[in-house]
Amino acid sequence: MSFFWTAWRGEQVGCLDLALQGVVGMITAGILPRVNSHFGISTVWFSSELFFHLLMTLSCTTWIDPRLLCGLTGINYAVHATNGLLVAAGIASDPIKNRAHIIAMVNNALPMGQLLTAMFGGMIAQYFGGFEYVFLCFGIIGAKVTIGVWLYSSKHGLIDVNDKTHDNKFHKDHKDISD
Amino acid sequence: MNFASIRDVIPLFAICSIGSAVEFCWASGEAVLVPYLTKHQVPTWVVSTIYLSNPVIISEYAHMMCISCFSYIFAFMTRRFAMNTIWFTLLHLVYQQLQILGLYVQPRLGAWSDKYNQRVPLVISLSIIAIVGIITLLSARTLGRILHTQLHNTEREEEDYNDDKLSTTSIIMSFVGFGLADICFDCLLIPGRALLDDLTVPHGRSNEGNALFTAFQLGGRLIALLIGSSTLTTSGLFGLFINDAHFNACFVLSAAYLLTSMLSVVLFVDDRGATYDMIPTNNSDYNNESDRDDKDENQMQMTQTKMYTSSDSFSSTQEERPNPSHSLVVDASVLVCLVQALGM
Repeated sequence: MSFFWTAWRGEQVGCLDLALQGVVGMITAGILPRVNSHFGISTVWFSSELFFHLLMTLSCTTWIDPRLLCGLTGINYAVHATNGLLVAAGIASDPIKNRAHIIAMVNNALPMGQLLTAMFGGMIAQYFGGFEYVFLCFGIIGAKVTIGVWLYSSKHGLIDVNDKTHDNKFHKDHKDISD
Repeated sequence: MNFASIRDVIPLFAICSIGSAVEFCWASGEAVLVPYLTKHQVPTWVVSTIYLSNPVIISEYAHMMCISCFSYIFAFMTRRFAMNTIWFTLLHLVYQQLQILGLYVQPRLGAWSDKYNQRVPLVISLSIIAIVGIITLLSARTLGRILHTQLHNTEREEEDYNDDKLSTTSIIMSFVGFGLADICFDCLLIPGRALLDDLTVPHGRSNEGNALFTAFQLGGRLIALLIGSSTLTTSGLFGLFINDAHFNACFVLSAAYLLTSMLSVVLFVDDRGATYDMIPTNNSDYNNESDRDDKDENQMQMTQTKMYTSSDSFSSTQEERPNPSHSLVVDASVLVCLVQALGM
């Protein structure tokens, strides 16, 4: 998102937008543990991803300031980097033994996302004539996928939406060992 | 673990500094590219559009001709090294391969880290490789020229230097250096997060720990953006660098930050892998004070501080408690990765 954003908004303005995104992200990271404890890790994660995709789709509109949009994406920046790992650790059969492996698999989404953007982002921008349409297209697709995964995982019980933290799982396993 | 205690907070901050350094390196790299293009009065979108509409790229590599973040890196590289479109196309292909290599390397690194139950050696090795990559990138122009002269035994050294054109060796060196550093930045988050979980999960503080790590990441990004736009870097570290001052200053600061975070981890973090203190969950045996006195003190200490490695503990529990939904777990992991990738 960052590279496209500076390209779309301009260098200095774009950097200021991203700095605001960083500040909002830091504040979000500060309150995130309490939010997770209240709503559940996966609920916060899915909601944040949906919110991010909504913000991306709004980039094509003129009635909302892009700086505000970019600042608000800082919320998902914090949640995305934290809760994705926690959710993955929560669904893993052995989150301690395979700790680094799980983190690596989730971290792999980093270059995967870049590859997806590299494969399709430019084509979309060229076809529609602007970077904001890349945000729009990825926002719509991302929202659909996120909703689909959320519904599917909830229906099949793949992800415990009420899970507050995967520490619970650790301590549950821990208790089994001590017993 | 008590976050209020300095003794506990220092290792935590040392671990989180890895995330901060990685984001600093990423963000300063991003900050370097745009000012360089501005210096040459080339708007970034024009540069990308020019490359996108390049007939060679369109006809030969239509599937890869995208305006992407990589385009800016190569736009920068192209402008910096005065490369033609052939080099740009070649480097684009190589960079795509490096990203795919990263997709392969990361899970392997995670598996090795779990197998040997160590994180700090990975942090050290990845940081050193990344720093070597940065140094290679920074010195590519000079070293490449010397190597090229020695290999080809030419006497065009001075001419090449004056023309500000890089030799083939320089281009390869700079690209390998950038690729190495970039892959290591991605991979450093794995031992960093794993160390954090090793430290916080046994105390039930992984939620707070991971949020702190993310806050450090964003802090590193913020610092990089602010420093990247300050006179510290634009002046080439107050005149230390003259040619490509901003570029050199940003990458030198990145390397220094990375080195500092690595040293802080080495000095302050006790790497025990996925090993944790056994905290008694059922204290009923110890409720009676008289019974407790009867216990051998040494034995109690051993019980309370007995170290269980992951392989020891879970080898027994997994046998007793089979996981019937293993295939579903794999599916869920894929779904998690998909959502994460789209959220980038």
